Amino acid sequence: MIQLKPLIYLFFGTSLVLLIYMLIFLLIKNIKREKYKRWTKICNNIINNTVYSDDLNVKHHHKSIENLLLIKTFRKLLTKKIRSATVSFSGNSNNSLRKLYLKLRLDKYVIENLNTNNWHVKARAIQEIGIMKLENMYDKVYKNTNHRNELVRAEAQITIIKLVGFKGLKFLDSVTQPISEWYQMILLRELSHFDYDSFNGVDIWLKSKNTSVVIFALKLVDEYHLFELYKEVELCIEHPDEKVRQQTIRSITKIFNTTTANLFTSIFENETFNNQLEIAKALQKIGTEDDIPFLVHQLQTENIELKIILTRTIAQINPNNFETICSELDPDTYPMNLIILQIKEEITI
Amino acid sequence: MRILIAEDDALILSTLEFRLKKDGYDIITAIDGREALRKIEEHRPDLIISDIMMPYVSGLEIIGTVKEKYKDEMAIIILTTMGQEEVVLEAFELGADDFISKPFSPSELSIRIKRFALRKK
Repeated sequence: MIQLKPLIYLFFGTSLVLLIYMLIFLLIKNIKREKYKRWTKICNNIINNTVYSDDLNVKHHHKSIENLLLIKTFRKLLTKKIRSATVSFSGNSNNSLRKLYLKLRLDKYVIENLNTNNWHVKARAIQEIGIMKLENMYDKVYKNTNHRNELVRAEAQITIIKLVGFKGLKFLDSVTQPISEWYQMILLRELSHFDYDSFNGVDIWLKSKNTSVVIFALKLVDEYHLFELYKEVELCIEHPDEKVRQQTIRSITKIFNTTTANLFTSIFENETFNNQLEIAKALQKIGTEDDIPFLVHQLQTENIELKIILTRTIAQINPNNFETICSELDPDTYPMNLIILQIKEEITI
Repeated sequence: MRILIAEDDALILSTLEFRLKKDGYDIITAIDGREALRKIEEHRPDLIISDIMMPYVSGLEIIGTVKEKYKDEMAIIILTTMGQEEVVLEAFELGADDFISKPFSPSELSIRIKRFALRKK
């Protein structure tokens, strides 16, 4: 027969232990929450005084700050808040926050984080160097611009630009790892914060073995209208990579000359479908009446998307004469009848 | 003058509150769009400083609601991120009175608020 008493004791005993464990757990959690609240208040207070009264005398307001800074969690919280405020505020407040960061010697810890093997800690440290504009760490960051981890590499490239502007593009000379399209956009955005300064190297980057570097160089040509590099850009139209050729079409359209439209029509038939679309769109901007017979000829394509864009290009090159040209476009049969109707509506609008 | 600040970044909210209180304004804060709309109804502020991107109700929705309900009774300054020109244009179409891009100088914001305060008088 089963002895019930020991089982009951065991049940109540276990329940009691669990209850005590839960109570202790909740108590510790509560203490931690209260401590976090208190620390948040201290950090906010330090930042408020810095932002609004340039008051960097933290020790005067918080006598225990030196001890608190020895606690890793507090230091991380304060650093996070100073970083966040530095990103949000400009002018004197921004300068004061950076002074505060240095005064509290938080830069000492950023070096520790930069030397770690943990990639996300490393990437965050690099980001912090950029936000706090720690120019003396340029060399340490530069070493990471070709890091095998994408995030570390991207943060290093962005930070280098943040620190020295256009001169920072020097990393493109040696980068062998790819630069994603997203990070190329961010790099261009970072450059836009600096006054345009002539920079050397684009002609070399256009010949890089790294296709993402070639694409980025083409985007620089496009963004800063580097007309003097027309010939170098023109050579990229024969690049084996489809995306490089696509970006070349876009960039050369921004610095076009009288021969560009002819260049496009000469390569059109051998190009991929996507690049044919790109050329048709580019001709909307730089095409002339001389290109219309070519465009009409290309309308023999079976692809409706290409037909629409080609027709739109014809209309945009010569809107006043579109009605007359329509007679050559097989206007009574499907799908040209519908396409012409749509494009006519677009012109009217 | 009574000012409502709607901003989901607690640090910016706290710093703006600190500064504007020191400047002598009566400050009400809201951490998201829904709370902002409730407090606008409750406190009828003279000026609203609102972030565009907020949880539940966006800054644009706040402008739309406020301008429809209270017309010019309340002025609105929006806080945007740099490069959000289209959002700024949309905000002006909805009736926003001014905008300031992050990162911003707190002193500049303070001057703009003083201009609204003078207009109010």
